[in-house]
Amino acid sequence: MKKIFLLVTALLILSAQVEAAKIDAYQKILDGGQYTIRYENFTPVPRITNRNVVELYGKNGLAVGTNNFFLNRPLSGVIVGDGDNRYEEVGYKDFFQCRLVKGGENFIFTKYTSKRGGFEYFGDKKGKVTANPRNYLVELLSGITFGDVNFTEMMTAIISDAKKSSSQRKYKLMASGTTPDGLSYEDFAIRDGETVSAIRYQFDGDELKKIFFASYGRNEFGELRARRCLVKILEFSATPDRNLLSLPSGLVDTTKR
Amino acid sequence: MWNLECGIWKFLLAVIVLLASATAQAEQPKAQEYRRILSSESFYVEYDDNNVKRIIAQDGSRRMARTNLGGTYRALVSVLNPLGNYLANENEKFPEFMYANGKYYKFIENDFALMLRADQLGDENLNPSEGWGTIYESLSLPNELAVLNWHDRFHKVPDALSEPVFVASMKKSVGGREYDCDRYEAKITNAAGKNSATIVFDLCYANGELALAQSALLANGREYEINRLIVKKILPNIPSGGFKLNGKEKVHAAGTGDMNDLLENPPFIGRLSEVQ
Repeated sequence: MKKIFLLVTALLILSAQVEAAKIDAYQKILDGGQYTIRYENFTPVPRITNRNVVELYGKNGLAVGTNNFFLNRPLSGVIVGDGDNRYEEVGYKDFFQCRLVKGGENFIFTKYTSKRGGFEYFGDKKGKVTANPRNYLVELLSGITFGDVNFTEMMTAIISDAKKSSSQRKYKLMASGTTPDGLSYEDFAIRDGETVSAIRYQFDGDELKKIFFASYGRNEFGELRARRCLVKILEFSATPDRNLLSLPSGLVDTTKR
Repeated sequence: MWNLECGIWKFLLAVIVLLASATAQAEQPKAQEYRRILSSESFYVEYDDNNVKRIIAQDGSRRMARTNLGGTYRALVSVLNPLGNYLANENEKFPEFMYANGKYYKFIENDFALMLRADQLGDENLNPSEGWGTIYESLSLPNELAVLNWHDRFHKVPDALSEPVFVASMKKSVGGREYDCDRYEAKITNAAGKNSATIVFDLCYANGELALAQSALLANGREYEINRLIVKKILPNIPSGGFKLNGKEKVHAAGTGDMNDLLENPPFIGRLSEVQ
């Protein structure tokens, strides 16, 4: 009887580790710093205001601080990491915010569809961009970003502790299992004061397909605050797309060095 | 006898060494006074941040701040036309941002302000063009001066950054001028609890007064300068040329995505003296 109990316990522990190992492969990719990630945010946004533009507050993402986002359009993003060089792009079908980090330099520009077809770029001026010094301080204090704020939360939840800042939240694996339609999942969660946040990573076989994020809680005034985000992973590979790690041909570097 | 003399010399030497190390380790005499002023209910701070003039003041329960008195246009005027600038600034004594009794104010003109209750600050429907998202940064002491009052209510820092601690005093030459500097260090930790970088703050004094405040990041085996402020004034009270509000300023509600906001017609709440 005791042996059976031990066997079952061992199997349970083993199975839990096997289940959790699926996300570990993605953690290794992120920790290694070499990756290409493409995603599509397909969250239907509930309409709670007359405005089409809302302000996003002090959250960690390319939209750091006070960028404004349209409520009625889906976001998509591309993130490429290659050691010290990174590229992030977040936007709608015809307008994207982009950041290229090359060594100690930071290029920020927008990319939008041209009337003549293809894309045009705007840095300081149309077709021109000047590099800023890379903000190592923000990276160390708030962690590196992965596109928009919600996707940054989803990615930093799986990065190992040694690779993220202590200001970032440490999610814990809570459960894993299989949905009725045969997709497996791993659930991570954290309680941060009165706020509970949970992330489900959903896999088809070993491949990460979708990520769901939800957060709810009461603020210091007792008001219920909640947000959610549903993301479809289009690509998550350990091969950086190096074409995106240099300035596009329609954009001239005007930095005086 | 020789032994006794030798003992005395050793003792004197030890005293000298102790005194010397104590001098090197002590903060500048005025540091404690600045700390007291900045944590009190009344202060006035004026500094230049990369040629942008900023003023932060506390007057009882009111915190007020203003960047570049008169704005960029006025600053240009000051170069070209000192008299115009003088007249312009004479009329503009209102703060750009203010906090008082659980309410935030943004002054658009000297007699017109928008008001937001503190509990509305996290509302995602706030009018993006009103810039409420950065109001903490606008009202807070900059990091370099917050070294002397790290727990200022508007000074928000990520958990990863520790409170700066005094390390040593030193002589430093900046721009060809010699300063007496106090160095403070703050540690940045990663989620595994390891120290990932250090920020050093140098508060530099000329003739006993704080004149320069610098910060730099020590990471990747290099030093990156973060910021350098030229400190103009740290006073225990608002001087006569400082902020002035008469209480008759018209206060309107901030835009929260409702119909008034869409029509750009912020409802009138009352005069400042009634609202406060």
